[in-house]
Amino acid sequence: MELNGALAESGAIRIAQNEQKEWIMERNPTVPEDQWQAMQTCIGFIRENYLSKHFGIAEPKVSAVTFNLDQEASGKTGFQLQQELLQLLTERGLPTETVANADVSNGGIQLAAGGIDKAAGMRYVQGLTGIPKEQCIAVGDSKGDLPAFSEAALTAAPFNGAKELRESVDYFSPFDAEYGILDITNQIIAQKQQA
Amino acid sequence: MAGLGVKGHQVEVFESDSAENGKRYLERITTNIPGVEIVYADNANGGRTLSLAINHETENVQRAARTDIENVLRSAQTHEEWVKAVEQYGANWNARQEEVRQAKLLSIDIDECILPTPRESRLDGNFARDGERFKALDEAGMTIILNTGGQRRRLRKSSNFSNLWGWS
Repeated sequence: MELNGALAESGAIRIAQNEQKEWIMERNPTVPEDQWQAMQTCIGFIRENYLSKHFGIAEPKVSAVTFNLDQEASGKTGFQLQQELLQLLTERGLPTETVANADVSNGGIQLAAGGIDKAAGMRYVQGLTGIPKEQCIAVGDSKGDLPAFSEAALTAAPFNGAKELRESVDYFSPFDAEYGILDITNQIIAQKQQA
Repeated sequence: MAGLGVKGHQVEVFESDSAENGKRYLERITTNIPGVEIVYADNANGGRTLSLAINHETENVQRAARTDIENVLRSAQTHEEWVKAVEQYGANWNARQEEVRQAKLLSIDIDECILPTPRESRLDGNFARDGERFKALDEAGMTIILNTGGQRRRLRKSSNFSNLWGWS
């Protein structure tokens, strides 16, 4: 299956091998371009004006960034940084909801591009493969997997799954973590072999 | 009994001095829960005992939440409660066998599901078993997507796993 691969950052990025066996990393095209631009603009601003001056530590991703602001060194608060980013995006005509909805409660700022979740990732892969939702199975263990579940006909979770999943999945394995995955895949294989 | 996910049913007969007819009957019902059996046994007084047998030697039960299974199932005081407890596991999935057979795409969250925390706790043998199963699913025509909320660099940590799967 050439399309076997991985989705990272909650469906923002697809990683797979092409026909030449080269690794490729694609941005999820179902995410609006202006959302990507807004995210990259914010990451660039934080790098240039804060990171390069050692005003904090960042965990940048392609579609998100968590910036732990050193308020003493920078003389700024997370709220002030948020206002700077909002002004920047407004000046450039980019969507501002990513920044407006950002979490600044811990002094820094956490940003994630709008329109990205595991449901968007599932739709991306479904579009690439032509496999409809009705023929998809999604397996996960946390609340962050619920969007992916909304784009699958069948769902399963290992025993350590969050309470929200426990009540909604089609199959709740009696085994936890990776043993649950072994159990779930075993059951799928068994059904496939009977088909 | 189909709703219970029953996979096999076996009746064993034992000679017994305490039984009225000199025989005792033991029914062993294999469930869809690996390593878990329902056992009915005739009592000497003519009644029947319903009990739970868990095979701790089953491969998949090495680090399974067997204590949790036992707690849930043993908490049942009546047959009806017991059936309900067993039905929590697998009954819905069993009822949708045809959809499982028709499925073509499997999306699996990586964290905790494939890469536990701490990562070092993941045994090579488990990677190998996942690899075998994913190859089997691949051969059955399924597209498999590892799905993580984390960064792409985290995926590199699963390189050993992906090598087993033929990603290298």
